[in-house]
Amino acid sequence: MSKGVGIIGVGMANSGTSLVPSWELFAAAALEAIKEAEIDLSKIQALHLGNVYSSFTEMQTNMAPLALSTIGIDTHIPSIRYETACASASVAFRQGYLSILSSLYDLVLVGGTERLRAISGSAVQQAMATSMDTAERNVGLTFAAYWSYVAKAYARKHHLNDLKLQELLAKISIKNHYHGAFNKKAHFQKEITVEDVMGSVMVAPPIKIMDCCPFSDGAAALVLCSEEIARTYRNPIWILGAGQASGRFPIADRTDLSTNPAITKAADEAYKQAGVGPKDIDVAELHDCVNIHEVVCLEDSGLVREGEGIYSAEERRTYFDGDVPVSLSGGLKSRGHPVGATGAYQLCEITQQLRGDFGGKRAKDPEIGMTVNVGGTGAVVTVTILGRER
Amino acid sequence: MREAMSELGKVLPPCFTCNHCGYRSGTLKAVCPECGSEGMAVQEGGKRGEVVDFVPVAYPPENLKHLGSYVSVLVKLNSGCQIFGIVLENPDLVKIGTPVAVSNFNPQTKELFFKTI
Repeated sequence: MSKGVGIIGVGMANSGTSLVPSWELFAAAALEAIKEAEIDLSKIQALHLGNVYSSFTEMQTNMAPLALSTIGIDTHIPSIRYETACASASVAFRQGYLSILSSLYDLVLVGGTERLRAISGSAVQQAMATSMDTAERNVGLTFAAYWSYVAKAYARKHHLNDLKLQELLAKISIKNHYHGAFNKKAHFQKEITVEDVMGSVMVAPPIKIMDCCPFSDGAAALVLCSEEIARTYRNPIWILGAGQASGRFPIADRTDLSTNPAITKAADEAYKQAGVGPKDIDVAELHDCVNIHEVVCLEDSGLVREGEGIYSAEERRTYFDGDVPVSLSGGLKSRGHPVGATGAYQLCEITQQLRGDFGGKRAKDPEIGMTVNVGGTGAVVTVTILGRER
Repeated sequence: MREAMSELGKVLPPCFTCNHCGYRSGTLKAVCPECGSEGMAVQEGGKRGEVVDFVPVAYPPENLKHLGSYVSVLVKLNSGCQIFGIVLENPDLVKIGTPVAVSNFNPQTKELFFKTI
């Protein structure tokens, strides 16, 4: 049997608007995770940190050693910042996981941090646009326009008229806000209605502002360790599979925008490593940066069949008590999207779901959970599978 | 290829074509992603094509604020290359399949504008 890697501590800052810089946010989340793991700071052998836009939004680079210093770790351990757009933190997590699998380290700190709300929304949008192809953004492609292309391609493929598409998408936002209303760490802790979504400002038809997630500040951290160490803990959560894949970067090169083969590839890799299939997943956190993307993630990861994803919220399948509970944190739409930290939030939330101590809506006694974290316009994908047992 | 690109790119957007399998892309590829051939050549993307899909953009990004609202179009050029561009006309004039022609290409900023024909 291959070696195992366990999660023995998680920590999350409140997602929303922060008064402190991202490295301080991360220090707080990291200390929460370290305290939960009941380890001394000197035991940590490396830091793998996701962060995307601090050079634009905080005029700060070299984030990893700064975060280390702010935590108070002064043992000269290596620290590395990962930048893969919205998938940064899950890529950092995966690299930390691989470093333990390779026997290089026994105990590492991983996570992500981001602060976006201290500057104007238009400046954040400009920064975020740098995660797209320069040539394509110079010819007018925006993130909202991209998701509109995706939604339209999906609607054409599945014979949905514009109104039906918009109503079904609204149900996904409503579902995620319903879950988020119970999550004390969520950016927006309130329910919304169909009218709230359908009456919201149209950004790029059919995508409206309430179809989209907010920009958030936030940080989340996890302590990972070798099987030998994890076995000394009462309830470690195990990393069963960690897939990663890259999609075609230029969007014009893609043949079918309603699907992302990189999600399927990363999911297949994770399922194979874990020795499980989509039917075994009891709870998932998916990347609903725009609600149509929850549909793409659901279908391309195999959690539901092609064409079913769009109906999943309306049919209550993706609610906490449905057969495919998805984004019980509220997802990016309600928990929020602190870009370079989002993947770490998802992993912390699934860890807590499996332990049974998530502070919001919980799936019924889940044994295996999954995260799908996607960077940019689908160019970076991680799929991670966690379990109570291995 | 860079030299050929800069010459061609002065007038029209370039198109990268695989001499082996015919794969085409509007963005630079050193090796053909379909067949692995290194025989990628650059040619003119062409002036005309038709709209594959379109999205009216109500809130332009900072770099295009001066345009006001516009229509983002995905165009299949007659050369076979697929490329994004901007239409500044009434969105109602743009449909899937609408024939368009390049109206302006800025080789510095790479801004590419189409008009319906």
